[in-house]
Amino acid sequence: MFPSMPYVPASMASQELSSTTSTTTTTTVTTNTTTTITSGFNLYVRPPASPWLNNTGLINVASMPSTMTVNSIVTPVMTYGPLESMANNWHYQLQEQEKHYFYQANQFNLWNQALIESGNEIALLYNEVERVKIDQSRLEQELDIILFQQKELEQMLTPIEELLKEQNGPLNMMYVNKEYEMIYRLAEIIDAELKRMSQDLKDIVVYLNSLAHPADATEQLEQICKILNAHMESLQWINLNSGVMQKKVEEVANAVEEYRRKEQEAMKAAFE
Amino acid sequence: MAFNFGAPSGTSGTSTATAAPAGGFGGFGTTTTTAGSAFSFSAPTNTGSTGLLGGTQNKGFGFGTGFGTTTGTGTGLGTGLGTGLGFGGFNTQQQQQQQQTSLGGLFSQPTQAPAQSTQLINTASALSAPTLLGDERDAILAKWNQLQAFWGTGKGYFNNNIPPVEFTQENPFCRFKAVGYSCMPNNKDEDGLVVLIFNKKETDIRSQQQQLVESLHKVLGGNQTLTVNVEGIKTLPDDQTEVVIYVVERSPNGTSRRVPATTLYAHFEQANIKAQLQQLGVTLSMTRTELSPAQIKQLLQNPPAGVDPIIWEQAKVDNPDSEKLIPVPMVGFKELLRRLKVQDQMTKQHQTRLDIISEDISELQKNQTTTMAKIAQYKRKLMELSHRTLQVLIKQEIQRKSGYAIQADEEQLRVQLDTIQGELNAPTQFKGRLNELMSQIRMQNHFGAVKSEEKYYIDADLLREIKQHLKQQQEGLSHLISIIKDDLEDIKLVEHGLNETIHSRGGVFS
Repeated sequence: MFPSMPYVPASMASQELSSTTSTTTTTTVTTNTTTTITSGFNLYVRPPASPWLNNTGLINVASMPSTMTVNSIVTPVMTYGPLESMANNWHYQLQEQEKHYFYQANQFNLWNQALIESGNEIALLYNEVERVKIDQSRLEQELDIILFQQKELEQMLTPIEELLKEQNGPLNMMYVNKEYEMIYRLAEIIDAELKRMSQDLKDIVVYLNSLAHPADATEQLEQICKILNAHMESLQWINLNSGVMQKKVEEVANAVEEYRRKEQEAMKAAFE
Repeated sequence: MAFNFGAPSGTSGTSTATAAPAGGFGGFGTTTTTAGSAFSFSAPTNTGSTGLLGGTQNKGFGFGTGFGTTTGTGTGLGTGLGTGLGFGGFNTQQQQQQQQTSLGGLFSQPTQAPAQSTQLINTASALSAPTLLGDERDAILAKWNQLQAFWGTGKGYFNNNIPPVEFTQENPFCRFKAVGYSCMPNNKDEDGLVVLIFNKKETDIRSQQQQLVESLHKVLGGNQTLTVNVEGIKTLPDDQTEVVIYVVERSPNGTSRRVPATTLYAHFEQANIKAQLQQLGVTLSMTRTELSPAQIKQLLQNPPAGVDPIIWEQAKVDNPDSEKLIPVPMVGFKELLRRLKVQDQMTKQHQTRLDIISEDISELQKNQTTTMAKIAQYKRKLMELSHRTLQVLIKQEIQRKSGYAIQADEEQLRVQLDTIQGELNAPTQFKGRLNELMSQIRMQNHFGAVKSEEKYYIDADLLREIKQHLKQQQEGLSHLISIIKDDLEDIKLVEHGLNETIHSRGGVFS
């Protein structure tokens, strides 16, 4: 008599196998098998992509097939044929699982590489941001210095202005002083006007800069404008070179005139 | 399948028949009939072992062929795995025999070599030719054993008298294996970084960080010259947290240095210290230092347990960045799942970092706007102060010059100022043009507001006319340009001829 096999645990299936041989001389063999069949493998399904904040397109996968449905079937008599069929079926499922495993492993490696590259880019971006922060803080410090200097200047100007205002009264009668005042007052007026004009020019420039942006709307008009600008440049070039040519023509005329005069003098000398 | 499997069985029979002339067969028969005899048990074991050695060689080869054929229909990796395994087994057998020959004089060495060989022999027997029932049903059991080996779990029964073979995920036939890559750390031993893995959540670790530092300080002996610092805290899967620390030691003379990582790690690995760390919740500690070239070479040259050398070589070739990455085996679904979890957390960290950078950029833009406003304000104030300074200067000059006659330079200054003012106030000069521009801009603003509602559309015919007109204009310009170029060349030629004539004439006269 063959000994009974102990319980064999397995993650996918468990099987208790025992066989009994008849004591008679016949070759009939009866087998009693209790088998747990695994069914309904949850095949892995790829979840939808969850894009990052800046749409880098990386995909996160945080779940793996981890559940199995197990049905228990007890058959009073089972021959080795069905057992072999089941083993073959499990072999096939194993191959399917193997395909999924390698697919996941390859995806993991790709994502790993993408993560490393993203990490490097984030590090570069972080360094750039830090550099900009440093520049900005330096700029603010310089602005604070300027503000301090301006306040200092204002503090010095205010007492002087008050003092001059008090002293200005009694000396206002002389005619020469009036003329002096007229001269210097003119300088003040001109300075004010120049500052006002400067401000107006700034406003005009800002307005023109703002106008330039929406000009890209019409493609055809933009092309026409570019062609017209090129033609304008060509015309300017023609104008410039015409001036140059005119100067050269005058020079040549002067040279020819001088040559003719020398020729006449030479002829007079020869005749004399 | 049956045919492929039948071949190894036939080979096995041949091997057994070959062993018969040496008397092995008789011994085997003796064992079968008189299992209880002590003498028969030991003698047939030796004989059987000798027979199995040869048999294993043949069976291994046969199994390799069958395995390759079977898995060839699955994946190319399987084919490579099968072929490599068969060949590897053969080599192992050769080496074992050589070792036995060379170390025949030593008693202990043969004891170990047969053990390793037996393990491989048992595995191969379980997978190819178990002898439990003695008939064709053993083939089905062999398939069952193969299934377990491929899954990397279970026990393989192959003989009534020998214990079963344990199948683990490290066995060569496990199908669920892949190779990933890990970044190699680049910290040096002098940096003193030691990693502690806590079995707690990150929030708990962060909330109790100060207490943790104090506890670690006590674990290190409570010496006042030592200071425990936390370099970083990171979340790990399964509610674990990774804490990187370093310890600074201050000398009596005022200098300070970090305790080397290996020294700190050795201290943490002492029995009593380790027990205290476990009370704090530490499950693992390790140093974070760069690998030495020798370590890297050793890791790369020797495949890990259960990983096929061919796969390992391929992983090294496929390494995206061999300077920073090192191949690491991933065995089983659980390992892969853990890796994916870590990857997910890394992704979240990247997203968090990007959010922080985005906030920083917003802050920078706000500061930029504030700075621009400040600059404009300061410029206006500068102009105002400049004007006030000029006023003060004027008043002082008036007072200073009181009582004197107007001088010549002052008269010149008055003339210049009058000229400038005249130019400024002239209707066709600067001020007039500026006023005209300003009025045009205001009118254009008003007109533009109305015009923006309309849409500009160029008719096809009009566009064609415009194109033709521009083309003619282009041709005219080209013509003018060529005329000017030719005239310039002519003038150059005339100048050259004139110079030559003058030169030759001068020579004649002189």
